[in-house]
Amino acid sequence: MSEKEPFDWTELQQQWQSEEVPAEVKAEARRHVERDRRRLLLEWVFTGIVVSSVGAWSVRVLINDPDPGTIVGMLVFWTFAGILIGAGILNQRGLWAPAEESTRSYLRLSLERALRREALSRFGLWLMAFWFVAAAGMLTWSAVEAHRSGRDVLPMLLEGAATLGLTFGVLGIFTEWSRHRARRRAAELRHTLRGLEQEGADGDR
Amino acid sequence: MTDSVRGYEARSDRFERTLGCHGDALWRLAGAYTGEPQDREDLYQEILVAVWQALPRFRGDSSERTFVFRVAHNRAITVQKRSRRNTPKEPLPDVVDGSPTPADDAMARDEHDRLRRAVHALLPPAREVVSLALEGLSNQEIAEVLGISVGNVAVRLHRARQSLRRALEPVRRPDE
Repeated sequence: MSEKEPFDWTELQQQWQSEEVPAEVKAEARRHVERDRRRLLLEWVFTGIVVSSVGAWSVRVLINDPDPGTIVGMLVFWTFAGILIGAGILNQRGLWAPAEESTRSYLRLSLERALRREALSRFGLWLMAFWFVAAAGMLTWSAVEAHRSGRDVLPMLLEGAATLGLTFGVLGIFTEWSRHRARRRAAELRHTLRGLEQEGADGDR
Repeated sequence: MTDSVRGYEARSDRFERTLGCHGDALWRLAGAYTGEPQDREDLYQEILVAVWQALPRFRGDSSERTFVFRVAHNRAITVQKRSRRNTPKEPLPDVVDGSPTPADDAMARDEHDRLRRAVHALLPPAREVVSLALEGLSNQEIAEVLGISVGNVAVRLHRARQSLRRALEPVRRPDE
């Protein structure tokens, strides 16, 4: 294209559209997608195996040991499993896919995910605090009982406090770090969304 | 489970058809968003995976072409955010630089690559509309893909064409 030639848009379009994807790239990309397909199939199979195995195990336990204690234990197990699965699904509500195929929609979805993650981390921290108080209470109660029966309380208290401190400390730091990250991500996404909406408004003027 | 498998097969067929119709266009789109050949191939693969994942959401509200480009564009933006190093900081100097390296000389001989590099060197808003307009999408279709108004597309496209024209003009030496 020399400088004297006019800027021919149609010619540029033809030149642009005449480029084809190299065969080897296409083949590699297909293999990549195929791996993704296989992963999807494996997930289905894995989920099926897990559900069938746990179900079969429950039935076997009930057949081998059909006393009221086992039945109650199994009921408690499945109730908790149900609550956990239900809570997981509820927490993911509206987060599977964007409402529409647009950049804004994807950003809003990411923002919603970040906010849910932050809320979940906050809930986790409160739950941990509750369990920490409960565990500390049980430890104190055990120590008092041990003291009354004339046993040495100090080693038990030290061991219990160290276990509690380490467990809740590590979990707490990790959860707080997740919450902080989710909050920062949400702030970034809000900023990007505002920029995008501003850009759209400017362009429309 | 049988329904899932049947749905999976239908989705695979649909994907193959989509790839047959739009595979080359998606490759060119990936080229507009990336600087290095390896990055282009990586982005192309990611786009195909995104299209594969998004196909069940296609309800025919828009044309298949618009839908596929929307998915590809969104994935390209996401990948670009992940690797900022591919985004040129300035709009055009790389293309109109008067002192190309030998590697640049060799690359510039290829007209396709020259055009692709010129499009890649545009600022993101211009690059988005130009890469779609070069594919032959109308302003209305581009607006649907990018989620902006038709007026906004027209303004962006006008500016983008001017930038592209400047970028593709040969560099004049001082004695010419």
